[in-house]
Amino acid sequence: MLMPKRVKYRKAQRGNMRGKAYRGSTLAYGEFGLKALEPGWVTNRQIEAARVALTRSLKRGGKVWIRIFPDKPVTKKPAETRMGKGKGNPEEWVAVVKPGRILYEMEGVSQDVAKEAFRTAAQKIGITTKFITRTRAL
Amino acid sequence: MDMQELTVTPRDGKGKQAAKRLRRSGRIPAVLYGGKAPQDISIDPKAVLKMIHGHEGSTQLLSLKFDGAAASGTMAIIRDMQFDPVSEDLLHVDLQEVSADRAINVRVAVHPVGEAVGVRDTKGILNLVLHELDISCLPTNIPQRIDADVSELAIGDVLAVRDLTPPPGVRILNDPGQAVATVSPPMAEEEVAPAAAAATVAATPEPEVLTERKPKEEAAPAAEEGKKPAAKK
Repeated sequence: MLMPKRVKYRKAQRGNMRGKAYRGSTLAYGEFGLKALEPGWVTNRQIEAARVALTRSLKRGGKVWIRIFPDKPVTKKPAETRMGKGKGNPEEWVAVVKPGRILYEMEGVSQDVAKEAFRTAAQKIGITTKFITRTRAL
Repeated sequence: MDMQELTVTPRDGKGKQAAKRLRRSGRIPAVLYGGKAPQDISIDPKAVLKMIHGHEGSTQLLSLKFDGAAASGTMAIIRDMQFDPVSEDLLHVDLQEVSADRAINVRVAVHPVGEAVGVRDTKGILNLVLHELDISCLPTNIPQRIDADVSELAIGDVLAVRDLTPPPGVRILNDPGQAVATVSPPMAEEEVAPAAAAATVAATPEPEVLTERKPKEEAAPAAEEGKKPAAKK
């Protein structure tokens, strides 16, 4: 599961997700990609589940790149706990995703195979996405 | 290289609001530089997209025709394009005026040719590391693409920039040792049992915290040592 090896602080504030992702919004490695269309937190479990779905649908062909990393800790208070007494414990790690961000890239397969693989992977991620290629549609 | 014609219109008004008004009207702002002075112009985005369709990563030579002018004469290339990251609409174009007798530095797409031995026989994966090449040539000699013959590549082999043969009149500017394409072994199929996966999730360790305070046991003896000289007095 993806998570940082070392961090400066154990807990983080929530922050905001205003605006669009200008960095990481173009294909850098592969021929095809999956682009986020709305802002959201993508957990390390979702990233891993989508990666497994991608590699399974590709069988043994193709190469996959993950373009996001979950570096933000999310805390949760235990069930049936009264409010107060401080912030909860870190429970999961998320990647902050803004609209336009490329989540995954792929190479070494045909466009139909890539599109189908990304369709199954997109179901594992809780935000709306779209399939993109290096050749821009008119 | 065949030259494509693009109609441009000089534009008035600068800044965000004027650019937004222009985009609402169906045209986009652009700038033409490299001549005597930079000129603010507007162009039809559909014409540009149609022109670059299928030639992504390459530079095309344009003949600019100013709206209202009788003949087209200015030779230019598309130096940069800005797209909206979500809608992928074309937002702005940089055009650079070029002269036919002066070499320019441009980027062209690398196109793999042939099926690699490692892909055909051993089911390897062809990985194109370098999608675009920096080249220097005369504007009239800009190639559509540079072919990279990958048919000899077996698994683990690397095709470097020095292995490419540029067309006559074209000089490649990239480092000769830079990798263009590689063939990697096929991905191993992973079968993770659900129980094992759940166990790994439960046993995930927390990362090291750099600003974490040291335990009190270490701090306590140090404090006592500090107090001792004071007690002697």
